Amino acid sequence: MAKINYKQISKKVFYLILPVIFAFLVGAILIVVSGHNPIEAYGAMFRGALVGKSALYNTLFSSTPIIVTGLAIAVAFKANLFNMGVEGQMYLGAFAAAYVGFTLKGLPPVLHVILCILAAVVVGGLFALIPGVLKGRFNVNEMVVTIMLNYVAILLTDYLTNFVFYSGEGYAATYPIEQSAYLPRFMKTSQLNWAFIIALIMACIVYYIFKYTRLGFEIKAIGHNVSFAEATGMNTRNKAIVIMVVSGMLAGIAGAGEVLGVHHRFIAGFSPGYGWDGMTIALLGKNNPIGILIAALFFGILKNGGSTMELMVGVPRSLISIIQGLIIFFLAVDYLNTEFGFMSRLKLMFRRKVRG
Amino acid sequence: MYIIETKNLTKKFGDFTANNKINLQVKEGEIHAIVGENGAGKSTLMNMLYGLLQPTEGEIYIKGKHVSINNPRDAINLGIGMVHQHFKLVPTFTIFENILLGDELTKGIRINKKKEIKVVKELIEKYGFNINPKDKIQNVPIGTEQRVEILKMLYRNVDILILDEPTAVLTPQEVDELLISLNELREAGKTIIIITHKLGEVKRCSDSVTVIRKGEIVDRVETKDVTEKDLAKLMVGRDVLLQVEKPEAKIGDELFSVNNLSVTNKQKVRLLDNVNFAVKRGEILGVAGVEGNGQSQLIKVLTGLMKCTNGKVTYKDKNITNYPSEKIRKLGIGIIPEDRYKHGLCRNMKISENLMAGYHDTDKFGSTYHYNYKKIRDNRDELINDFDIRVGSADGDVGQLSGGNAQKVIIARELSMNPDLVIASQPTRGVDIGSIEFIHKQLISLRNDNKAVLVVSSELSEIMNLSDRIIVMYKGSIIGEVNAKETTKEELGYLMAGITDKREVENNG
Repeated sequence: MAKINYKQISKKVFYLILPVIFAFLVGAILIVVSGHNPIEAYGAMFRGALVGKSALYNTLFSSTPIIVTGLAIAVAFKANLFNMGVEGQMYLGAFAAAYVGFTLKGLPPVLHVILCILAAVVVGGLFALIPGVLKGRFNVNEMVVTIMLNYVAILLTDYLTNFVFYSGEGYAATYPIEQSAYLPRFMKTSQLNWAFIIALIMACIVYYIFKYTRLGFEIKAIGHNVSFAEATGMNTRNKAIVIMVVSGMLAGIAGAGEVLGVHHRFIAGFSPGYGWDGMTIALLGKNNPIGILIAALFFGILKNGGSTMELMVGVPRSLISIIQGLIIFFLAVDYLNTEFGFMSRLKLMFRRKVRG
Repeated sequence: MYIIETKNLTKKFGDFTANNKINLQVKEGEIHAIVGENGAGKSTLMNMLYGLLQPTEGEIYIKGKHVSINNPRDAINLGIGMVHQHFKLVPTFTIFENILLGDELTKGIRINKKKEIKVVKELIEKYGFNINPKDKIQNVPIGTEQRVEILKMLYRNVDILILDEPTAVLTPQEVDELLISLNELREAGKTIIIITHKLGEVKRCSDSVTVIRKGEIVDRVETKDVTEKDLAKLMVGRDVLLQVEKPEAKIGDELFSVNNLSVTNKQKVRLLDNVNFAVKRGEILGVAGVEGNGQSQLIKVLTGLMKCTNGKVTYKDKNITNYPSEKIRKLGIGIIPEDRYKHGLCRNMKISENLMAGYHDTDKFGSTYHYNYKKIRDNRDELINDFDIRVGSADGDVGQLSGGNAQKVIIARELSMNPDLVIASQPTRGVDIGSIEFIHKQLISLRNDNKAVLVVSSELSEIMNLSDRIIVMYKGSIIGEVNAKETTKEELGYLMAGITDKREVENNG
């Protein structure tokens, strides 16, 4: 029994890292073409990301927002709901956190932080309620709605930052938040802060929801077979709304973490696409919170080690983007494989050729 | 000399051996039946012959020649054709278009329709089928669809025809016609293999039988030498009651009633038309009918998957019209849905999870906010034991179970909650004979406990064995009610065909 499980697990892990391995291989070819040594380059990258306390801390820091956006997306994806609006929900959540951060004054630190996060959760969740209700009540495609709402969120916060709460410091940012709303850092030389701990707690909560609650059970059933879920009384239409809102709440927390832990104010356009990275991470981590943690850490390594690689070996940092893109590409191949038996077909074709 | 012979044919899926050293022998020009319980490995064997699966070990000989069959095209080139249980036809195409799909007769780049129709007409006449090549598939009865599948194979000049559960979807009259056609095909020199677990039909049409149990051949016999009982015993490995005994019904109070129930769809078609019936405690009410006469809609409305446009459903004097399924289950109504893998189970979820679905928000599996995995596992082990569900690994997914055992998962889940009424739709479709016996026993013991069962089935023998009273549906309404003890297959067959007056038949026929 145990033996079978072990075999299954190792097989699972193998399929999980397969796209990563392929991406690195293709990346290596590109490095060779550009006249460098791939082993040296990758070595520099991993060393730069993992060796030394501040390097390690910076890697964890880079992975913090994408852990949470990854979780937000996983909650929805697992139920086959395509919430592409995590980016926008995160922006609004971040703005809400900043607003509470600079408006309320004289609060004790912990309470202030909690209030800011709550504001982000509420606003993120409410914003996701729109596509949720449209999906649950009127069966409107959530993918289109969420993508469009991203623009609404980003441009709205842009406007608020530039015209309503403009700090006057020469760049599009709001007033700074009160010190009491800061999420403290762990050390001076790294930006790693308590947002990382919050991200870990969120991963635990999502794990708990998936494994131990009715909602988790229903998310799984809806994701696997929606008619079955409906026939066993899971009220899938209402559940779509609930799941969307939970996803949006998590996205809001991701935004709050950035405001309270890093920028200490809302900066227009602060996200380099955390919401979209979260999508890759959720896919790579197979919507499993533990898988998401690993995938997000891996992306942190890429991001943080990329600059070292550029500095030490001279391989441009944009290679990291190429590797990320290749991972998505090979994930799609993996999808083809599970859905259409791509690999076994290839094998069969190959076998026939050999036989003549 | 055998037309098909396999030597030590073995197929393994991982650690599981689906077929173990099968030595199948089929003579030219015979009808050979392959019988076995569900999950015994009949389909695996046929899929290897048709090139859908590759054997792990062993050899296949066709007409004495060692062959390797990599895909259905190879199989067809070798003269082997297969008709699947679920037909693969394009509903909006005509019969001739379906038959020639992929092998269109062309003139330049255009399809030569005239020639196609002529060719198909000749084919139909050659085999004496009574169908019109220009009909669209969506407009023809299911028996005709099956003919089209058979013709599709015959057009490709196969001389070995494999039929997978050919009678599962047919009315008794259609079954008779099919068996006659099969006989004619044999006379025309074709070899036919039919996979089935309906022993009555095996007895009626086959020349020889191979019995498979747990992936191995138990015996190969000449049909004339055995009785149905012998075959059942060979299949299951023990004596089987073909008809479950049931004591005299003790009819109690009315438990469930349906009044003037109607469903009209968006196209203003009446799918259900003024349906009225009542189920009393201590009885099994059977709903018979050819598939597609409103039974599916009736069950959907009664189990919360579809809303009725008119009418009233009452349970224990409470109006439960258009209740959603979670509320229906909470009132103590067990639901065994028609489509096992769509509404009853989720293939890629675990057995334990499937055993809690629908009741996953009761406190049976833990507190309100926290599932207790020990309780979930205990529930699973208890039900696997009580309902004799045969699993490879108790921790595995439902998808790995055979049809009969998957169905037992649903039965176990619904009956373990002590329902007062069970609404069962096609409870034994595609289920092996051993499991049928078990499921029937369960339903009858429920009835004996002064509870009630509403059972819908297109299987006449099932309806007749189980029910105390039978209502027959035709075109969305109830065309007649009969007492199960007094009726005959013929009487029901006529009602199912929409004929209420027997004299009419006698005069015309």
